[in-house]
Amino acid sequence: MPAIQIILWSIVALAPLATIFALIRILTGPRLISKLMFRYLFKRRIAWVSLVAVMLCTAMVLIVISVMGGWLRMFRQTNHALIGDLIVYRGSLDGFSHYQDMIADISQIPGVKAVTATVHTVGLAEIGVGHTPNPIRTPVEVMGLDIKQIGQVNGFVDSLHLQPEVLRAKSKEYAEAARKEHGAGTADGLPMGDGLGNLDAEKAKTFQAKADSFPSWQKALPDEVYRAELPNSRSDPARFGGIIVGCGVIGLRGNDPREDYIYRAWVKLTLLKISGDLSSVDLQDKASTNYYWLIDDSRTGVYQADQNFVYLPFDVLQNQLNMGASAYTDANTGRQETEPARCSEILISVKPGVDPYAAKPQIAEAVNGVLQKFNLYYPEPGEVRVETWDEKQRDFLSAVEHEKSLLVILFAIISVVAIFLVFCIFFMIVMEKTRDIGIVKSVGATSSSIAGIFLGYGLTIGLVGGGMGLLLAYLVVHNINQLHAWMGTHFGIQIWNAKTYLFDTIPNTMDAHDVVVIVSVAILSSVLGALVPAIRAARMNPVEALRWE
Amino acid sequence: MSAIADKISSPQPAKGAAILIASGVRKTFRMGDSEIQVLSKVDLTVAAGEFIAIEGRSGSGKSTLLHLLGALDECNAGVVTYDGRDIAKLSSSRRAFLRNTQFGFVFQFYHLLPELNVLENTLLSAMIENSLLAFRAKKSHLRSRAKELLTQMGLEHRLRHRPQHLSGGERQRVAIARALMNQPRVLFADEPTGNLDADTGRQIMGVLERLHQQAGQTIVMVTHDRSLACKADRVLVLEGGILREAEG
Repeated sequence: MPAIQIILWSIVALAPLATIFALIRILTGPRLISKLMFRYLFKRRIAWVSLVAVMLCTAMVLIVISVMGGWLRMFRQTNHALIGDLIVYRGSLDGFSHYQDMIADISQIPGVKAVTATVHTVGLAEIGVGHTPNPIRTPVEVMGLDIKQIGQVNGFVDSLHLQPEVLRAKSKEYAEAARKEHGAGTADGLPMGDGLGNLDAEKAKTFQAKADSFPSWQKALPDEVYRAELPNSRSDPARFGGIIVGCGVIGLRGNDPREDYIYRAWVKLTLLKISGDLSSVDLQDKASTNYYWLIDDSRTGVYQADQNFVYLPFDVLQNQLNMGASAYTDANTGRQETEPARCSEILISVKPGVDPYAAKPQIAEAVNGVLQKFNLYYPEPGEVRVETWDEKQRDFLSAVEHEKSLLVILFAIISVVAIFLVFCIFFMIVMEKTRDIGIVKSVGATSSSIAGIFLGYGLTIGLVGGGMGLLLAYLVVHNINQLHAWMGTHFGIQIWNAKTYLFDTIPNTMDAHDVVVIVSVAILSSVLGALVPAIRAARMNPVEALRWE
Repeated sequence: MSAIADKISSPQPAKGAAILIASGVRKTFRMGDSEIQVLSKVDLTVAAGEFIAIEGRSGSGKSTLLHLLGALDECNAGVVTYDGRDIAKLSSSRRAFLRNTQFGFVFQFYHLLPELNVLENTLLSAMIENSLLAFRAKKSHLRSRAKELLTQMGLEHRLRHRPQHLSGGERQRVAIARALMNQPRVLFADEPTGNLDADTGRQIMGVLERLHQQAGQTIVMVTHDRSLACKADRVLVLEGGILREAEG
């Protein structure tokens, strides 16, 4: 180990030793230590500078680490929630076949909880209500999923706005409106009014039915509402299926109120279909453009997903993309053959307590078994891969982890600055208090008691400064989104850009582990800063100290 | 202040027994390249219950001698023994213990801690002697003793005041109370009236005299004032680094 490292580690090791020494001296040493320690703290205002420095350093590092660590945590949690525990995928739009066999085999593995397949493509969405002249037009990523099954694998179902409780509340609201409408009717109890009472009653039923079948692709409103939206009132609204869109696709944020007209919106979706030989994009296929009713919106919290994703039933998208099973005649043999269905990904969740990394080899074995069984060969880089959710995001995660490491180095530099500041101030205080040190020594204080006073003083500065820093950081982090909004409103300062940082809100939670480490480092830094002045004070000759001018 | 003898109960050895002995003490200070000899060969015996005044001009080494006798400093040659033990051979913590429990100091410039009030300054040696928990356990006893001492010094109305709000005479009386707090066997007074006007100086000397006469307190005082030195049982003169009995 190089000499410089030995010196650095020795200094780092000195801090906890000095802290323990100070604590022992305060508790078991002379009463004078705690007396003078606190008296100096309250009477020597110069020490407040070091206290404020420790507070600000602690708060600054805690805020930055909390936001960055919180961001990383949110990113991991949301990606974990979006993907599930493990994923089987190919780096190609045309997906892979025999996924049903793979799902069957993977489901047999003891640690596996649930498995589901998804399909992916990209497309162009046009979204509007009625005959609006300005529909929303936006490129989207389209995902096909089994809504009943995906809730077992990841958190997609939780991201939907129309949760059962919301649906039931809406149902109750409309039932109440319908009751009022009927209540004001004729004496025989028949509805009077304009028939709105009947429509409200229908809406109440539809919302209730959607709540009962949650999660489902069922439409949110009664057919007659949708029929009124169609150009030809005799068209069957059932011809259009349901689609779920990311909340950002329709310009909503997570907590924005949803008016019911949103669920009358139509979505015209043009899919980017790959030609059969995978060599081109087939935009001429009329069947690739379809209409859907917007039945719900999803808010995962991941900006990219919420701004770009729309969701369709798995089989609908699979068929639209010609990825379903199809019969064809082999040109060489003339025999009828079946092209197996394909999917883009298989998402897997493991049972609680099972490590995804432990389950991964068995899943890979099951996948390879199916590939071999059906003699499937996908050459690199489009091979079928099995990865855990964090391996899938590793490039991004490792980059952020590196940034966090850089932050730790920055923190170390800040600590050195804090240590130096405490050192300078304590050195000044020791110089200023030289005669007091002589007095106390002349009355019988030992050198270790004198050291205890100044180390305890440093410890108190660290404890109070660290505690105040923690409080300040908590207040800032806890209200960071409101502060950010306030800064934006009053000064036009917009630091957090959702497009860059993926999330529409700044992380506002503090990690207990980070808090313990940072506050401890702040305390140790203060003690370390006080160490040299304390030693100097302890070594003072009482006679020279008494003569100090 | 008349009841000092009743109130202050220092454990005193048999009157006349030598408790502090300096023999052949030499002390030099280095000033750059040159060496200044302050004490050449000092011999002194302090007996229990004795009031000794050491007289000398400014810079004659009186305070230095007091510091050596009070275990605040170490001599370059010679021996200072307390109760037969060589002070120089004691560890620094044992010397600190001696200063805390056996010796009391009164300085010319009072040397009170500005952050502590009168009562707390008086309690200083007790706060050094006792740990946090021990002090808490004995708090009421220690506080009442400190209050008693301050009452005897006529400072009962000044308990919560800080030193900077006291007159010179009051500060010196607080310093005496502090020195007496742990019932020292030897009280060292370094020019105790040197910073006071004549009247206040007489009052302070009166306190020391009563301590000696009524409580039998052993006192070693240094002064440059012959009229004050005369109040002591024995007057010694420090001149040219040598200590000798005063004439007349």
